[in-house]
Amino acid sequence: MSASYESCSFCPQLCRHLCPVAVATGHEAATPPKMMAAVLLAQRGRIPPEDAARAATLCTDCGACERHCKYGIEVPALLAQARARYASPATVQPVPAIQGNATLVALYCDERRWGPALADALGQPVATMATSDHLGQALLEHRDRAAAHLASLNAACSGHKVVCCCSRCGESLDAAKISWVRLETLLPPTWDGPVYLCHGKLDFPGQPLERPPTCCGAHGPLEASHPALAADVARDAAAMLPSTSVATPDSACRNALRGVGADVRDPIDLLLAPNTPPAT
Amino acid sequence: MSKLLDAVRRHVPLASEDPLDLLAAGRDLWPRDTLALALGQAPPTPELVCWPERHDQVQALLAWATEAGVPVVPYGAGSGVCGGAVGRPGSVVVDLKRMRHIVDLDQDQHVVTAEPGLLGQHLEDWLKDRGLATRHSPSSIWCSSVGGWAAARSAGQFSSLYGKFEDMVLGMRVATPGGTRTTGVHTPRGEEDLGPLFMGSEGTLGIITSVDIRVVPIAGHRWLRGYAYPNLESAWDAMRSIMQGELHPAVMRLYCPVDTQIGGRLGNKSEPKTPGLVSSLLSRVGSRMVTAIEGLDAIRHRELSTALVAPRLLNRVADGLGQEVMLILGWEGERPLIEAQVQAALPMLSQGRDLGAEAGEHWYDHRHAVSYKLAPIFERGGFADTMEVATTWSRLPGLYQAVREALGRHTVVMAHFSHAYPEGCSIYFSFAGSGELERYDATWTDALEAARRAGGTVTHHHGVGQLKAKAAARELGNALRVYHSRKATLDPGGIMNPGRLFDSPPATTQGPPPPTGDGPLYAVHGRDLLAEVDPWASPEGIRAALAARGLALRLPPDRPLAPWLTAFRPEAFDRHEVPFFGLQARYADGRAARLGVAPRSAAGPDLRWGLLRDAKAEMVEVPLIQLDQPTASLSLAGGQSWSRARSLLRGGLRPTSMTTDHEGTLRVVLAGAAATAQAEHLIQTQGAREAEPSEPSPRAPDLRASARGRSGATAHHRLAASKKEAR
Repeated sequence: MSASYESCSFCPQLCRHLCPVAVATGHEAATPPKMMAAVLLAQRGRIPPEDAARAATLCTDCGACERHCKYGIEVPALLAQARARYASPATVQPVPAIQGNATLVALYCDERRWGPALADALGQPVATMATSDHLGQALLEHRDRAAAHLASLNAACSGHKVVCCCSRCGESLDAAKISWVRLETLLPPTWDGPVYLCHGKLDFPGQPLERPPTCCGAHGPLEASHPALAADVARDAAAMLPSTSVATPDSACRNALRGVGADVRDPIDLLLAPNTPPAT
Repeated sequence: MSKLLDAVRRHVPLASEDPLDLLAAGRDLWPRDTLALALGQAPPTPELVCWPERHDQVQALLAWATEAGVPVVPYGAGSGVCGGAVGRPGSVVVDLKRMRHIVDLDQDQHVVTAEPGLLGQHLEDWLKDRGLATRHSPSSIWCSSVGGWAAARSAGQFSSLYGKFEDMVLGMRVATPGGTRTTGVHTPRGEEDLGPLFMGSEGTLGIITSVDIRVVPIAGHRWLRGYAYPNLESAWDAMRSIMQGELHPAVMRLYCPVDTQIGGRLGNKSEPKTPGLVSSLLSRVGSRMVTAIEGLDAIRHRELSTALVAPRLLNRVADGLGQEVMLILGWEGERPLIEAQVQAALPMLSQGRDLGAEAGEHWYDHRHAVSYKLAPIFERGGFADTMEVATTWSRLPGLYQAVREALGRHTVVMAHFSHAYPEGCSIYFSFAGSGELERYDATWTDALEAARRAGGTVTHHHGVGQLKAKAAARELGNALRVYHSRKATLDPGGIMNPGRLFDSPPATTQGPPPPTGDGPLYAVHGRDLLAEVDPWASPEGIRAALAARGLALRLPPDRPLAPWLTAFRPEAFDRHEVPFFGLQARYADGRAARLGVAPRSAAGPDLRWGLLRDAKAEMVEVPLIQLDQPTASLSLAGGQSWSRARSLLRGGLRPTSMTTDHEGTLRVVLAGAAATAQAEHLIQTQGAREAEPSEPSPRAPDLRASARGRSGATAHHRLAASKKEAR
């Protein structure tokens, strides 16, 4: 595996033009080869492990570098390994309790409380669950530390079907082996405008952007570790969106892009107010 | 927060002392630093990195840094390979990658204005959406920036048609410790145009904050083929004939025998020329070793390590692989014009074996892939590097042999020849050695000295940095006074990128003696189409002397060359109209400087224009054309002549002159092997008529510069005005 860190470190940065973080922030340290070089130097004891950990969190896991690399070096996976080795596990919130008595559970990860609307639309009761850290998604890279947390999560959701449209929450649910369903597959939205598919090739109505931004900055460890740089990435992505309202199937993307002023809707917005322009 | 960070943030709010940011700014792509990293060494780091977003922030920072005596290092995308822009202890790195916007595109005039931190590929992508391109395509285009292209005098893969980057730049805005300067077409009236000085200054004079770049419509048609030649000499002849025949190919790349064998695109596997069993075996082993440099799969075997510790042996083995070489040749533009050029070129290619379009297209599709081949060599404990030199056609074989021999003492070496011009060509050596810093340094010391002795420039487009600073200073000699005199004004505190390029004034020598001979011609290099000329001789005298040899000046002046060149605005012209190459001039203290050991050098800034101002010219080396080449004179009546001229130029036509008479009729003179066919095309499609051939009138304003764009027009009008004043 060290050879792969070396391969990247010695490469003349042939993927840097595709890295959304390096491009949007201008940070030399955020180019994939420089991130990998920091890990390499930490492996050789030349820089402190915490520096390597911070370097490895400058990534959104978009995979653009890996797709471009002639040798197919799995940069995101290698950086994830480096984080597992060098970064301290994140402190996560306790597993939240489910409110209400129903099989379906609407998972809230932002301020929107859309359970009642979902219940109305489906004509059946919906319980709710609210998380402020995507169900502890930041802990997942530390598999041994995450085991107890995931077991608690699995137990809490046992016998329920979680409804969610956030990729970050989805990662936690998958890791905990919890049965869940995307909101838009349960309740297909009506949308005929442009669609931004970041980190996914999901079925969604509308017209996918011909040239979508590589990443909105909401994914991977960047947002939690370097929020200001993540906002730079989001601003870059927002600048590439059309001026009209755009839909995305992913609430993480929606929140990142809305945070920098872009007019973006997700399935929750479409459920809550299908014909109303989103608040800015 | 440290005091330094606090002070910098008053001018540039985004700044960092995070060790990660410092570590990243401590290294560019200089292979020596990569080797050090491979050996486990972390690079020295600067004190701080900041990210300005506007020109005024850069300007304010430089003013503060001068006052505080803090060294400043500009940093673009860090793709330099000579250690020119890396932060060192005590310095503040100015990372320009947040200045990455396209400021303006003049669609009508075909000029784009870009900020320095914009990556090359992003600029080309943006222009492509608008049907345009710079066609500046270095192999580093994915990882290099516009500012770096200018600061290091970059060259791209299509330079034979579009020129080096410096030929595309019409103007720049530069923040210096001494204040903001504008260059090229933005030069304040009456002031020296510092564009040639900033171009190639590698951050030692100021920080480029915007660049005006000439763009072209995306070519409608491309013609690419490969040709096999029995040896280098026959291929060089073909290249020279095509370039001197005014055929303007976009791509012309010749691979040395080793590189050709590695490419394996000749269609037949040449048998080793060295007889005998041992040699045959060595050839096989050598072939596998050379392949090992090429491909990761082979590197997984241990052949590379073996090869790199015995470079002399491997180079000898490589010599036995055969002499056949491959030439990649291509044109692009409007189909009829290309067809005329190709038809004219075919007789010049008669010694070659046509490998078909596949060879050319293969190169095109993989033209950036070479950069992937470097990392595996470091990974296996070696180092890989490149060296680009250039010289005139007549010196080219000697330069090739000398540098190859010098590099080959330490490393496994191969080469290709690209960036060809009417007067000469560059050589791009690729070499790999075993990974010791001592071997790396010895390799470069020997190779740079060999290049100097053989009459080549030590760098064609990679710049100087730390690696070639001494060698470049030796090449420029007393002309460095031009650089240091401007540096004293622009950077009085000496804070700009210290320790790089020309850090201290060189020891002054007497310089060369005055040229001998009666003039007006001191020397004529017919093979290179260059002449060393008395710059004070009358144009008529020069013309008569050259005509007696069947030659003429490429750009006829309307007065003696020295005052004519002093009034010249280089940004108004493209590379096909370079008015002079070499220059010898004498300062008031009696010492002399001579520039121009090779065309299109990137050994620091272009000092010729400053030397013309600072010292009295004694000799200028000017480009020539052959009088016996086909020419065609055409007239195009109707419509606006300026507009028609622009249309023709944007279609890819390269006339030798374009003038208009008092009735508005456009007169076009074509010269070169394709002139007749191109004239026929214009007659059929543009309603052109054949005109009486006549000598081009130096006093008739030439429309070529102004028709290429508004900026060119501005420069052209200034030139015309200056001529008027001079008269």
